[in-house]
Amino acid sequence: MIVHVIDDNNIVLMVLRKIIKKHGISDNVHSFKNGEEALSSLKKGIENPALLPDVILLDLNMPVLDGWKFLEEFEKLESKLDKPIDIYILTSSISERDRERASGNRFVKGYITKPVNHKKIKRIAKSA
Amino acid sequence: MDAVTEFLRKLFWAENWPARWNCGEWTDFHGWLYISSNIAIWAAYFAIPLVMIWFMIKRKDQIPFIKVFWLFVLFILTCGTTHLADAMLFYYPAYRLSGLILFICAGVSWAAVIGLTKVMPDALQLKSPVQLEKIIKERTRKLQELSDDLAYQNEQLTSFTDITSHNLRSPVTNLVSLTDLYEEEEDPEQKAEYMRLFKEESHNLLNTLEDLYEVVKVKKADEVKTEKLQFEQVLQRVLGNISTQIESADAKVSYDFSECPEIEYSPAYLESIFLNFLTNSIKYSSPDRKPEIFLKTGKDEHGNVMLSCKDNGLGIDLNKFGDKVFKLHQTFHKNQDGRGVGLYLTKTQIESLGGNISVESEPGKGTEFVVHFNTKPKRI
Repeated sequence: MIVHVIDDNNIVLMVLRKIIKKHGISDNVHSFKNGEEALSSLKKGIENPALLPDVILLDLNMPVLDGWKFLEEFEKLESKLDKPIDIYILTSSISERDRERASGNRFVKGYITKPVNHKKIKRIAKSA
Repeated sequence: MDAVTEFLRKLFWAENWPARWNCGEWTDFHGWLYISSNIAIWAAYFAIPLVMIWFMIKRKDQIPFIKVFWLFVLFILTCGTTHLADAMLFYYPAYRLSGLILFICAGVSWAAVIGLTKVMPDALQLKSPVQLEKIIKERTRKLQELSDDLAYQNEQLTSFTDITSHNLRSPVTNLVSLTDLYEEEEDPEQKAEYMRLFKEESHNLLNTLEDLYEVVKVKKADEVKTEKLQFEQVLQRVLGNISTQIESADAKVSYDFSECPEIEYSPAYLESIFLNFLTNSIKYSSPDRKPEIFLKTGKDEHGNVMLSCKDNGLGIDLNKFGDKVFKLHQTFHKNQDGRGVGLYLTKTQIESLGGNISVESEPGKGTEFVVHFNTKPKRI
Protein backbone atom coordinates (compact mmCIF):
# COMPACT_ATOMS: atom_id res chain seq x y z
CA MET A 1 0.00 0.00 0.00
CA ILE A 2 1.29 3.45 -0.93
CA VAL A 3 0.51 6.24 1.54
CA HIS A 4 0.84 9.96 0.89
CA VAL A 5 0.98 12.19 3.95
CA ILE A 6 0.35 15.90 3.36
CA ASP A 7 1.16 18.09 6.35
CA ASP A 8 3.26 21.22 6.85
CA ASN A 9 4.46 20.10 10.26
CA ASN A 10 7.69 18.10 10.33
CA ILE A 11 6.88 16.39 13.59
CA VAL A 12 3.52 15.15 12.31
CA LEU A 13 5.21 13.82 9.15
CA MET A 14 7.89 12.07 11.18
CA VAL A 15 5.42 10.60 13.70
CA LEU A 16 3.16 9.27 10.95
CA ARG A 17 6.02 7.71 9.03
CA LYS A 18 7.24 5.99 12.17
CA ILE A 19 3.82 4.64 13.10
CA ILE A 20 3.00 3.46 9.58
CA LYS A 21 6.30 1.66 9.17
CA LYS A 22 6.58 0.31 12.69
CA HIS A 23 3.12 -1.24 12.67
CA GLY A 24 3.65 -2.81 9.28
CA ILE A 25 0.91 -0.82 7.60
CA SER A 26 3.06 0.25 4.70
CA ASP A 27 6.68 0.53 3.67
CA ASN A 28 5.90 3.07 1.03
CA VAL A 29 5.17 6.39 2.73
CA HIS A 30 5.70 9.72 0.97
CA SER A 31 5.59 13.05 2.76
CA PHE A 32 4.54 16.37 1.26
CA LYS A 33 4.78 19.79 2.94
CA ASN A 34 1.71 21.25 1.28
CA GLY A 35 -1.12 20.51 -1.14
CA GLU A 36 0.76 21.85 -4.13
CA GLU A 37 3.67 19.42 -3.77
CA ALA A 38 1.27 16.49 -3.33
CA LEU A 39 -0.73 17.59 -6.35
CA SER A 40 2.28 17.65 -8.67
CA SER A 41 3.11 14.12 -7.53
CA LEU A 42 -0.46 13.01 -8.41
CA LYS A 43 -0.08 14.61 -11.82
CA LYS A 44 2.98 12.44 -12.44
CA GLY A 45 0.77 9.48 -11.49
CA ILE A 46 -1.50 10.18 -14.48
CA GLU A 47 1.28 8.92 -16.76
CA ASN A 48 2.53 6.29 -14.39
CA PRO A 49 -0.27 4.86 -12.19
CA ALA A 50 2.22 2.77 -10.23
CA LEU A 51 3.22 6.03 -8.47
CA LEU A 52 -0.32 6.75 -7.29
CA PRO A 53 -1.12 6.29 -3.58
CA ASP A 54 -3.88 4.11 -2.18
CA VAL A 55 -4.40 6.38 0.78
CA ILE A 56 -3.86 10.12 1.31
CA LEU A 57 -3.67 11.54 4.82
CA LEU A 58 -4.47 15.22 4.41
CA ASP A 59 -3.99 18.10 6.85
CA LEU A 60 -6.34 21.06 6.45
CA ASN A 61 -4.40 24.09 7.65
CA MET A 62 -1.30 24.45 5.46
CA PRO A 63 0.51 27.22 3.61
CA VAL A 64 0.60 27.55 -0.19
CA LEU A 65 -2.27 25.13 -0.90
CA ASP A 66 -4.37 24.10 2.08
CA GLY A 67 -6.41 20.93 2.51
CA TRP A 68 -9.66 22.38 1.18
CA LYS A 69 -8.02 23.78 -1.93
CA PHE A 70 -6.23 20.46 -2.44
CA LEU A 71 -9.62 18.69 -2.42
CA GLU A 72 -10.93 21.13 -5.05
CA GLU A 73 -7.93 20.47 -7.26
CA PHE A 74 -8.18 16.72 -6.63
CA GLU A 75 -11.76 16.75 -7.93
CA LYS A 76 -10.57 18.18 -11.25
CA LEU A 77 -7.87 15.52 -11.50
CA GLU A 78 -9.76 12.49 -10.24
CA SER A 79 -11.25 11.27 -13.54
CA LYS A 80 -7.75 11.05 -15.01
CA LEU A 81 -6.42 8.89 -12.19
CA ASP A 82 -6.26 5.20 -12.92
CA LYS A 83 -6.71 4.08 -9.35
CA PRO A 84 -9.21 4.73 -6.54
CA ILE A 85 -7.65 6.83 -3.78
CA ASP A 86 -9.05 7.11 -0.26
CA ILE A 87 -8.54 10.49 1.36
CA TYR A 88 -8.55 10.83 5.12
CA ILE A 89 -8.53 14.25 6.76
CA LEU A 90 -5.98 14.46 9.54
CA THR A 91 -6.31 17.71 11.43
CA SER A 92 -5.76 19.43 14.74
CA SER A 93 -8.99 21.32 14.25
CA ILE A 94 -11.80 20.30 16.55
CA SER A 95 -14.27 22.58 14.84
CA GLU A 96 -17.60 21.00 13.96
CA ARG A 97 -17.74 23.29 10.94
CA ASP A 98 -14.63 21.65 9.48
CA ARG A 99 -15.91 18.16 10.23
CA GLU A 100 -19.25 18.85 8.53
CA ARG A 101 -17.56 20.42 5.54
CA ALA A 102 -15.30 17.39 5.19
CA SER A 103 -18.15 14.89 5.50
CA GLY A 104 -19.87 16.68 2.61
CA ASN A 105 -16.95 15.94 0.28
CA ARG A 106 -17.35 12.74 -1.74
CA PHE A 107 -13.61 12.01 -1.79
CA VAL A 108 -13.16 12.17 1.96
CA LYS A 109 -13.46 8.72 3.49
CA GLY A 110 -12.72 9.63 7.08
CA TYR A 111 -11.92 12.42 9.48
CA ILE A 112 -9.29 11.99 12.17
CA THR A 113 -8.40 14.53 14.81
CA LYS A 114 -4.84 14.78 16.00
CA PRO A 115 -2.99 13.59 18.06
CA VAL A 116 -2.30 10.63 15.81
CA ASN A 117 -1.49 7.25 17.32
CA HIS A 118 -1.14 3.73 15.96
CA LYS A 119 -4.75 2.81 16.84
CA LYS A 120 -6.18 5.56 14.68
CA ILE A 121 -3.83 4.73 11.81
CA LYS A 122 -4.55 1.00 12.02
CA ARG A 123 -8.27 1.73 11.79
CA ILE A 124 -7.61 3.55 8.52
CA ALA A 125 -5.50 0.68 7.21
CA LYS A 126 -8.32 -1.77 7.90
CA SER A 127 -11.01 0.26 6.13
CA ALA A 128 -8.77 1.25 3.21
CA MET B 1 -76.39 77.37 58.98
CA ASP B 2 -80.18 77.64 59.17
CA ALA B 3 -80.23 79.23 55.75
CA VAL B 4 -78.32 76.28 54.28
CA THR B 5 -80.60 73.70 55.95
CA GLU B 6 -83.65 75.65 54.74
CA PHE B 7 -82.08 75.78 51.24
CA LEU B 8 -81.52 72.04 51.09
CA ARG B 9 -84.94 71.19 52.55
CA LYS B 10 -86.69 73.28 49.92
CA LEU B 11 -84.25 72.30 47.12
CA PHE B 12 -86.95 71.09 44.71
CA TRP B 13 -89.60 73.70 45.69
CA ALA B 14 -90.72 76.00 42.91
CA GLU B 15 -93.55 77.89 44.60
CA ASN B 16 -91.61 81.02 45.49
CA TRP B 17 -90.98 82.10 41.87
CA PRO B 18 -93.00 82.41 38.73
CA ALA B 19 -91.99 80.16 35.76
CA ARG B 20 -89.68 82.07 33.47
CA TRP B 21 -92.29 82.09 30.66
CA ASN B 22 -94.33 84.31 32.96
CA CYS B 23 -91.47 86.55 33.90
CA GLY B 24 -91.22 89.54 31.62
CA GLU B 25 -92.37 89.48 28.02
CA TRP B 26 -91.29 86.50 25.92
CA THR B 27 -92.36 86.04 22.38
CA ASP B 28 -92.72 82.37 21.34
CA PHE B 29 -89.75 82.74 19.05
CA HIS B 30 -87.50 84.29 21.70
CA GLY B 31 -88.54 81.78 24.40
CA TRP B 32 -88.05 78.72 22.20
CA LEU B 33 -84.81 80.09 20.86
CA TYR B 34 -83.58 80.33 24.44
CA ILE B 35 -84.90 76.90 25.50
CA SER B 36 -83.84 74.93 22.41
CA SER B 37 -80.37 76.49 22.36
CA ASN B 38 -79.82 75.56 26.01
CA ILE B 39 -80.99 71.99 25.40
CA ALA B 40 -78.78 71.73 22.30
CA ILE B 41 -75.79 72.94 24.33
CA TRP B 42 -76.56 70.42 27.09
CA ALA B 43 -76.85 67.59 24.53
CA ALA B 44 -73.52 68.52 22.98
CA TYR B 45 -71.93 68.87 26.44
CA PHE B 46 -73.20 65.40 27.22
CA ALA B 47 -71.92 63.90 23.95
CA ILE B 48 -68.41 65.38 24.20
CA PRO B 49 -67.53 63.52 27.47
CA LEU B 50 -68.91 60.29 25.99
CA VAL B 51 -66.54 60.62 23.04
CA MET B 52 -63.70 61.43 25.44
CA ILE B 53 -64.47 58.35 27.56
CA TRP B 54 -64.57 56.18 24.44
CA PHE B 55 -61.17 57.57 23.40
CA MET B 56 -59.75 56.99 26.89
CA ILE B 57 -60.94 53.38 26.89
CA LYS B 58 -59.40 52.75 23.46
CA ARG B 59 -56.08 54.36 24.35
CA LYS B 60 -56.04 53.01 27.88
CA ASP B 61 -52.34 53.02 28.78
CA GLN B 62 -51.15 55.65 26.36
CA ILE B 63 -52.84 58.77 27.74
CA PRO B 64 -50.71 61.08 29.84
CA PHE B 65 -52.34 62.95 32.75
CA ILE B 66 -55.42 60.69 32.83
CA LYS B 67 -56.74 62.38 36.02
CA VAL B 68 -56.98 65.75 34.23
CA PHE B 69 -58.86 64.00 31.44
CA TRP B 70 -61.42 62.77 33.97
CA LEU B 71 -61.72 66.29 35.46
CA PHE B 72 -62.44 67.60 31.98
CA VAL B 73 -65.15 65.00 31.46
CA LEU B 74 -66.77 66.10 34.71
CA PHE B 75 -66.29 69.80 33.90
CA ILE B 76 -68.05 69.51 30.54
CA LEU B 77 -70.87 67.38 32.02
CA THR B 78 -71.59 69.89 34.81
CA CYS B 79 -71.40 72.85 32.39
CA GLY B 80 -73.97 71.07 30.21
CA THR B 81 -76.21 70.46 33.22
CA THR B 82 -76.33 74.21 34.00
CA HIS B 83 -77.78 74.77 30.50
CA LEU B 84 -80.39 72.05 31.05
CA ALA B 85 -81.33 73.71 34.37
CA ASP B 86 -81.59 77.07 32.61
CA ALA B 87 -84.09 75.61 30.11
CA MET B 88 -85.98 73.89 32.93
CA LEU B 89 -86.65 77.22 34.69
CA PHE B 90 -89.10 78.18 31.93
CA TYR B 91 -91.62 75.63 33.31
CA TYR B 92 -90.26 74.54 36.69
CA PRO B 93 -88.68 77.50 38.52
CA ALA B 94 -86.62 75.48 41.06
CA TYR B 95 -84.02 78.24 41.49
CA ARG B 96 -82.46 76.53 44.51
CA LEU B 97 -81.74 73.39 42.47
CA SER B 98 -80.42 75.56 39.66
CA GLY B 99 -78.20 77.41 42.17
CA LEU B 100 -76.77 74.11 43.50
CA ILE B 101 -76.04 72.91 39.95
CA LEU B 102 -74.21 76.19 39.24
CA PHE B 103 -72.25 75.80 42.50
CA ILE B 104 -71.17 72.25 41.61
CA CYS B 105 -70.19 73.43 38.11
CA ALA B 106 -68.11 76.26 39.63
CA GLY B 107 -66.31 73.80 41.96
CA VAL B 108 -65.52 71.33 39.19
CA SER B 109 -64.37 74.14 36.86
CA TRP B 110 -61.88 75.42 39.42
CA ALA B 111 -60.69 71.90 40.16
CA ALA B 112 -60.00 71.60 36.42
CA VAL B 113 -58.11 74.92 36.45
CA ILE B 114 -55.93 73.77 39.37
CA GLY B 115 -55.40 70.32 37.82
CA LEU B 116 -54.36 71.84 34.50
CA THR B 117 -51.93 74.28 36.13
CA LYS B 118 -50.32 71.46 38.08
CA VAL B 119 -49.67 69.22 35.07
CA MET B 120 -48.62 72.09 32.77
CA PRO B 121 -44.84 71.83 33.47
CA ASP B 122 -44.94 68.08 32.72
CA ALA B 123 -47.16 68.61 29.69
CA LEU B 124 -44.63 71.05 28.28
CA GLN B 125 -41.99 68.29 28.53
CA LEU B 126 -43.96 66.01 26.24
CA LYS B 127 -42.20 65.44 22.92
CA SER B 128 -43.78 66.48 19.69
CA PRO B 129 -43.89 63.88 16.87
CA VAL B 130 -41.00 65.72 15.13
CA GLN B 131 -38.92 65.62 18.31
CA LEU B 132 -39.80 61.95 18.83
CA GLU B 133 -38.75 61.09 15.31
CA LYS B 134 -35.41 62.81 15.92
CA ILE B 135 -34.90 60.87 19.15
CA ILE B 136 -35.77 57.60 17.43
CA LYS B 137 -33.30 58.34 14.63
CA GLU B 138 -30.55 59.12 17.14
CA ARG B 139 -31.24 55.95 19.11
CA THR B 140 -31.34 53.87 15.95
CA ARG B 141 -27.94 55.27 15.00
CA LYS B 142 -26.54 54.39 18.43
CA LEU B 143 -28.00 50.90 18.22
CA GLN B 144 -26.47 50.46 14.78
CA GLU B 145 -23.09 51.47 16.18
CA LEU B 146 -23.50 49.05 19.04
CA SER B 147 -24.52 46.32 16.66
CA ASP B 148 -21.45 46.98 14.47
CA ASP B 149 -19.31 46.85 17.55
CA LEU B 150 -20.83 43.56 18.63
CA ALA B 151 -20.33 42.15 15.15
CA TYR B 152 -16.66 43.20 15.34
CA GLN B 153 -16.23 41.59 18.76
CA ASN B 154 -18.01 38.49 17.57
CA GLU B 155 -15.65 38.26 14.63
CA GLN B 156 -12.70 38.60 17.02
CA LEU B 157 -14.13 35.86 19.17
CA THR B 158 -14.67 33.53 16.22
CA SER B 159 -11.14 34.10 15.04
CA PHE B 160 -9.97 33.36 18.57
CA THR B 161 -11.87 30.07 18.54
CA ASP B 162 -10.07 29.18 15.31
CA ILE B 163 -6.78 30.18 16.92
CA THR B 164 -7.37 27.90 19.88
CA SER B 165 -8.40 25.09 17.61
CA HIS B 166 -5.49 25.33 15.16
CA ASN B 167 -2.63 27.12 16.77
CA LEU B 168 -2.77 25.79 20.29
CA ARG B 169 -4.08 22.29 19.67
CA SER B 170 -1.55 21.59 16.96
CA PRO B 171 1.67 21.76 19.04
CA VAL B 172 -0.03 20.05 21.97
CA THR B 173 -1.13 17.10 19.82
CA ASN B 174 2.46 16.83 18.62
CA LEU B 175 3.68 16.66 22.20
CA VAL B 176 1.18 13.88 22.91
CA SER B 177 2.28 11.92 19.81
CA LEU B 178 5.96 12.34 20.71
CA THR B 179 5.33 11.08 24.24
CA ASP B 180 3.58 8.01 22.81
CA LEU B 181 6.49 7.29 20.48
CA TYR B 182 8.99 7.86 23.27
CA GLU B 183 7.25 5.32 25.49
CA GLU B 184 7.05 2.69 22.77
CA GLU B 185 10.65 3.17 21.63
CA GLU B 186 13.51 1.08 23.00
CA ASP B 187 16.47 2.38 21.03
CA PRO B 188 18.16 5.02 23.28
CA GLU B 189 19.36 7.05 20.33
CA GLN B 190 15.87 7.29 18.90
CA LYS B 191 14.52 8.12 22.35
CA ALA B 192 16.98 11.02 22.59
CA GLU B 193 15.81 12.26 19.19
CA TYR B 194 12.18 12.22 20.36
CA MET B 195 13.18 14.14 23.46
CA ARG B 196 14.94 16.76 21.33
CA LEU B 197 11.82 17.19 19.18
CA PHE B 198 9.70 17.30 22.31
CA LYS B 199 11.80 20.19 23.59
CA GLU B 200 11.65 22.00 20.26
CA GLU B 201 7.88 21.69 20.07
CA SER B 202 7.50 22.86 23.68
CA HIS B 203 9.34 26.02 22.66
CA ASN B 204 7.05 26.44 19.68
CA LEU B 205 4.08 26.17 21.99
CA LEU B 206 5.57 28.77 24.28
CA ASN B 207 6.14 31.09 21.31
CA THR B 208 2.54 30.68 20.20
CA LEU B 209 1.34 31.50 23.69
CA GLU B 210 3.53 34.60 23.74
CA ASP B 211 2.14 35.67 20.36
CA LEU B 212 -1.36 35.20 21.65
CA TYR B 213 -0.55 37.27 24.70
CA GLU B 214 0.52 40.13 22.39
CA VAL B 215 -2.84 39.94 20.66
CA VAL B 216 -4.86 39.76 23.86
CA LYS B 217 -2.88 42.73 25.16
CA VAL B 218 -4.43 44.97 22.50
CA LYS B 219 -6.66 47.10 24.60
CA LYS B 220 -9.97 48.85 24.12
CA ALA B 221 -9.74 52.26 22.48
CA ASP B 222 -10.46 54.21 25.64
CA GLU B 223 -7.61 52.49 27.47
CA VAL B 224 -4.98 53.31 24.85
CA LYS B 225 -2.91 56.43 25.41
CA THR B 226 -2.50 58.50 22.29
CA GLU B 227 -0.23 61.47 21.58
CA LYS B 228 0.79 63.66 18.69
CA LEU B 229 3.42 61.74 16.71
CA GLN B 230 5.70 62.66 13.81
CA PHE B 231 5.64 59.78 11.31
CA GLU B 232 9.28 60.41 10.44
CA GLN B 233 10.48 60.28 14.05
CA VAL B 234 8.66 57.03 14.76
CA LEU B 235 9.91 55.45 11.53
CA GLN B 236 13.51 56.48 12.31
CA ARG B 237 13.21 54.89 15.74
CA VAL B 238 11.98 51.62 14.21
CA LEU B 239 14.66 51.70 11.49
CA GLY B 240 17.26 52.09 14.23
CA ASN B 241 15.94 49.00 16.00
CA ILE B 242 16.10 46.79 12.92
CA SER B 243 19.17 48.32 11.28
CA THR B 244 21.04 45.00 11.24
CA GLN B 245 18.17 43.26 9.44
CA ILE B 246 17.94 46.08 6.90
CA GLU B 247 21.67 46.10 6.26
CA SER B 248 21.98 42.36 5.84
CA ALA B 249 19.05 42.35 3.41
CA ASP B 250 20.57 45.38 1.65
CA ALA B 251 17.08 46.91 1.68
CA LYS B 252 16.34 50.46 0.58
CA VAL B 253 13.70 52.24 2.64
CA SER B 254 12.35 55.58 1.40
CA TYR B 255 9.39 57.67 2.50
CA ASP B 256 7.32 60.77 1.84
CA PHE B 257 5.37 62.04 4.83
CA SER B 258 5.03 65.61 3.50
CA GLU B 259 1.29 65.42 2.81
CA CYS B 260 0.52 64.42 6.36
CA PRO B 261 3.55 64.57 8.65
CA GLU B 262 1.84 63.85 11.99
CA ILE B 263 -0.97 61.95 13.68
CA GLU B 264 -2.61 61.64 17.09
CA TYR B 265 -2.06 57.94 17.79
CA SER B 266 -0.67 55.35 20.15
CA PRO B 267 3.16 55.41 19.86
CA ALA B 268 3.40 51.68 20.61
CA TYR B 269 0.88 50.77 17.90
CA LEU B 270 2.42 53.03 15.26
CA GLU B 271 5.85 51.53 15.97
CA SER B 272 4.36 48.06 15.74
CA ILE B 273 2.70 48.92 12.40
CA PHE B 274 5.98 50.21 10.92
CA LEU B 275 7.92 47.29 12.35
CA ASN B 276 5.57 44.69 10.91
CA PHE B 277 5.42 46.32 7.49
CA LEU B 278 9.21 46.60 7.25
CA THR B 279 10.09 43.15 8.58
CA ASN B 280 7.38 41.60 6.43
CA SER B 281 8.71 43.27 3.30
CA ILE B 282 12.25 42.12 4.08
CA LYS B 283 11.19 38.59 4.99
CA TYR B 284 9.19 38.16 1.80
CA SER B 285 11.53 40.00 -0.53
CA SER B 286 12.18 38.62 -3.99
CA PRO B 287 15.46 36.72 -4.46
CA ASP B 288 15.78 38.39 -7.89
CA ARG B 289 16.14 42.00 -6.68
CA LYS B 290 17.14 44.16 -3.74
CA PRO B 291 14.23 44.91 -1.43
CA GLU B 292 12.78 48.42 -1.91
CA ILE B 293 10.19 49.74 0.49
CA PHE B 294 8.33 53.02 0.07
CA LEU B 295 6.18 54.53 2.81
CA LYS B 296 3.78 57.42 2.22
CA THR B 297 1.13 59.28 4.22
CA GLY B 298 -1.85 61.28 2.99
CA LYS B 299 -5.51 61.95 3.58
CA ASP B 300 -8.47 60.10 2.11
CA GLU B 301 -11.72 61.67 0.85
CA HIS B 302 -13.11 61.76 4.42
CA GLY B 303 -10.08 63.63 5.71
CA ASN B 304 -8.77 60.57 7.56
CA VAL B 305 -5.03 60.00 7.74
CA MET B 306 -3.72 57.22 5.50
CA LEU B 307 -0.44 55.34 5.48
CA SER B 308 0.70 53.11 2.64
CA CYS B 309 3.66 50.75 2.51
CA LYS B 310 4.69 49.44 -0.89
CA ASP B 311 7.39 46.88 -1.59
CA ASN B 312 8.86 45.02 -4.57
CA GLY B 313 8.84 41.62 -2.87
CA LEU B 314 7.35 38.22 -3.65
CA GLY B 315 3.75 39.41 -3.46
CA ILE B 316 0.77 37.39 -2.36
CA ASP B 317 -1.75 35.71 -4.64
CA LEU B 318 -4.87 37.41 -3.29
CA ASN B 319 -7.20 35.26 -5.39
CA LYS B 320 -5.91 32.29 -3.43
CA PHE B 321 -5.25 33.82 -0.02
CA GLY B 322 -7.27 37.06 0.05
CA ASP B 323 -9.35 36.01 3.04
CA LYS B 324 -6.37 34.79 5.02
CA VAL B 325 -3.80 37.58 4.81
CA PHE B 326 -4.64 39.07 8.19
CA LYS B 327 -5.33 35.84 10.06
CA LEU B 328 -3.08 34.50 12.77
CA HIS B 329 -0.38 32.02 11.83
CA GLN B 330 -1.12 32.07 8.14
CA THR B 331 1.94 32.02 5.99
CA PHE B 332 1.83 31.86 2.24
CA HIS B 333 5.40 31.16 1.36
CA LYS B 334 7.70 28.29 1.98
CA ASN B 335 9.72 30.61 4.15
CA GLN B 336 10.07 29.06 7.58
CA ASP B 337 10.74 32.35 9.42
CA GLY B 338 7.20 33.49 8.83
CA ARG B 339 5.20 32.85 11.95
CA GLY B 340 2.16 34.72 10.69
CA VAL B 341 1.68 36.89 13.76
CA GLY B 342 2.64 40.38 12.60
CA LEU B 343 -0.19 41.26 10.25
CA TYR B 344 -2.81 39.76 12.53
CA LEU B 345 -1.51 41.87 15.39
CA THR B 346 -1.27 45.00 13.20
CA LYS B 347 -4.85 44.56 12.02
CA THR B 348 -6.10 44.01 15.57
CA GLN B 349 -4.33 47.15 16.80
CA ILE B 350 -5.55 49.34 13.93
CA GLU B 351 -9.13 48.14 14.23
CA SER B 352 -9.19 48.56 17.98
CA LEU B 353 -8.66 52.30 17.41
CA GLY B 354 -11.37 52.48 14.76
CA GLY B 355 -9.24 52.21 11.61
CA ASN B 356 -8.86 49.60 8.91
CA ILE B 357 -6.16 48.00 6.79
CA SER B 358 -6.29 46.64 3.27
CA VAL B 359 -3.86 44.95 0.91
CA GLU B 360 -3.15 44.99 -2.81
CA SER B 361 -0.65 42.58 -4.26
CA GLU B 362 0.55 40.92 -7.39
CA PRO B 363 2.62 37.76 -7.16
CA GLY B 364 6.18 38.39 -8.34
CA LYS B 365 5.81 42.19 -8.32
CA GLY B 366 5.17 43.30 -4.78
CA THR B 367 2.66 44.16 -2.10
CA GLU B 368 1.06 47.38 -0.90
CA PHE B 369 -0.61 47.72 2.48
CA VAL B 370 -2.86 50.73 3.10
CA VAL B 371 -3.95 51.84 6.56
CA HIS B 372 -6.87 54.21 7.09
CA PHE B 373 -6.64 55.55 10.62
CA ASN B 374 -9.79 56.37 12.62
CA THR B 375 -12.38 55.88 9.93
CA LYS B 376 -15.00 55.34 12.59
CA PRO B 377 -15.58 56.81 16.03
CA LYS B 378 -13.56 55.08 18.71
CA ARG B 379 -14.85 51.72 19.76
CA ILE B 380 -16.52 51.58 23.14
